[in-house]
Amino acid sequence: MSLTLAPRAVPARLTTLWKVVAGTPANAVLSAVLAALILWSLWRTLAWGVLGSEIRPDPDACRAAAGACWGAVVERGRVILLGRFPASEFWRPLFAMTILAGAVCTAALPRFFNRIGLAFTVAGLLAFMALMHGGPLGLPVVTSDLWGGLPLTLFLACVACFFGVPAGILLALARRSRLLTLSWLATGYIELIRAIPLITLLFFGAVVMPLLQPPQAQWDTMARIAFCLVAFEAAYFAEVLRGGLQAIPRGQYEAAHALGLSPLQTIRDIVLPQALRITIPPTVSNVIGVIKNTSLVAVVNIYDLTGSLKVALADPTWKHFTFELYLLVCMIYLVVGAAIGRYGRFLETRYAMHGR
Amino acid sequence: MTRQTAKELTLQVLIGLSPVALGVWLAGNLQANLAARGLTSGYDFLLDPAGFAITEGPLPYQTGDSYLMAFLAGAANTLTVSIPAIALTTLFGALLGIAAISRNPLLAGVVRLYVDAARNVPLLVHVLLWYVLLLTILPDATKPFVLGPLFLSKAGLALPHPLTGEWPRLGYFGLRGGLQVSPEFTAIVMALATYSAAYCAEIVRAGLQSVPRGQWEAAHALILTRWQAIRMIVAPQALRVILPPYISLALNTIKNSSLGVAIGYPEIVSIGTTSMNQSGRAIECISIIALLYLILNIATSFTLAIVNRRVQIRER
Repeated sequence: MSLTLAPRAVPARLTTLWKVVAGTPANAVLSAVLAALILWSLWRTLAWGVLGSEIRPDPDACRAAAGACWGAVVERGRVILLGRFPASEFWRPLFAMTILAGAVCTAALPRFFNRIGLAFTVAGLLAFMALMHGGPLGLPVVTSDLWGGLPLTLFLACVACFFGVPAGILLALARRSRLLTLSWLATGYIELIRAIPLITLLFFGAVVMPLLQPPQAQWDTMARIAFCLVAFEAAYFAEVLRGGLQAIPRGQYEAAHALGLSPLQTIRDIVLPQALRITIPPTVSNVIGVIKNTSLVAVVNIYDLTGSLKVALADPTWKHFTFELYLLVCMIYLVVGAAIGRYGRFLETRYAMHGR
Repeated sequence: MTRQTAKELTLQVLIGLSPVALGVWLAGNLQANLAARGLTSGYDFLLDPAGFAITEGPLPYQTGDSYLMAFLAGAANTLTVSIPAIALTTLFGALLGIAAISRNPLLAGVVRLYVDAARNVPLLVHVLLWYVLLLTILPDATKPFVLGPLFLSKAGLALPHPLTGEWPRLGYFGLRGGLQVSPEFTAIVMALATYSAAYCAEIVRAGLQSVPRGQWEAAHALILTRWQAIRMIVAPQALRVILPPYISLALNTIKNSSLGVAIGYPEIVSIGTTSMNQSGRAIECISIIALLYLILNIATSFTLAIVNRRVQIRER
């Protein structure tokens, strides 16, 4: 009858917590060390980032301060955010970015998963280009080599996804086509693109593409780089979708055939909606990957967020406060990535395939 | 039926011919552009002397050797950064992945935070940040920071040579002898390792969690400790799930080593772009880079596919 003697004083959840944190001596030591480490780094962050920091954009005051120099962020932040865009026209990239982000976020609402959302996105992209370039609106012309910063990062990522996803869908369908030459071509393209690093493709866009385009119809660098980003991401989106297409049972095709649907209708109305649903998680991580990949355009001298970080650091007055500026850029990428990740989880729960 | 087949056949021929047409069009443009710029084409430049130096690497390349040698030296350097990077990725990734399924919420939480942060920041930012940190935090080469057998300074990392066993000595202008590693090398290896380790941790965690609960419970019933259960029961089964994504992670790490170009580490892409500027043979240089990566990719996936086949369950 020992059961009746068992102590029942502590609620079960607390005992479980105590057990996982300090159940065994080794675990208790680990928890203590980790807790001390976490507290220490919190304290150091506070001491560096708040208590000893300097907010005035004054390099001498910053050098005297014990902690972070947020003045550098205040002073150079504009360059990081907007790149080399002419200072008198700074409202244009900010406004253009707001329009683009607003249009894309609206189109991302499930109720706009239709022609209206598509129109919004196209309008957002066109408005962005018009405002940045300025020509069609009667504003002073700013050529695309002066575009930069966060607006450019978001624009390139939007372009890469907007054209890359449909191109990827076509490639994935082509790879699974019954027409052998089509399937071979798609497979060859996808495998070639996936074998080489994006940087190589960007150098191709920057240096080789001008040699391959007709002399009388040359694109500017920004257009070529955007084209290469699309060409690269399409191959990756295609591979993600191929996984989804392979998961659709044969019976779905046969059922569609039995209902008298044409091959095009079968793909559009039966297969693709299911395949896209299954592939929401990998597609979302691919989209976050696209944002990170756009940072590589900095290597071919296009001043996106990462590229303009390099521009901002080139100023000798502020070059001692590198870490603060890097922190700003990292935080921007983290926030954008986290936001897309959260949106992805929302899509996943909303469109979860409930297995029967 | 025959009409259907004939239609498909024509379509196939047309599709097959379209890249040929595209190629002819591009070749025409190329000729016009090259003629307009007074450039020549062809791979004959590979045997010409390359007029640039390569600062480091396992191959004995010297300024004035052929472009071919320069490309080989670049490919060797790509492997030289990729191998330690993949080794460190595997080590950190395995440790982080095991820590991520720890029942200790503090440990699991810290790992989660690291994995999420490291994965959401672009690799290029990792690379630049490591490089800046190495160049600003470390002391000058004349007074290196000594950590056991490791000597860290702005000139990079020096350690006892693994083959000859010779230790670095502090000379008048910094360290001499031993195995000297440049800050560029250290930065790219550490950036690749810290970035890829986060992905590797996720792969390991998913693999460990894919093993059915019954296996854990059975191990527990056999009074194995949690660590023994992971090592002897769960990990061998998880390996089959882990290996395919791990292979593509390793391939990605090789491709990602091309970011060395951003901080001046002389790997393939860096050598290729320098050769492109020097020789003016843009298409040729890009195609050589692509070819070398294709070869590296095929060789790696072939080797790892053999390993993969050996660990998969053979069904009767």
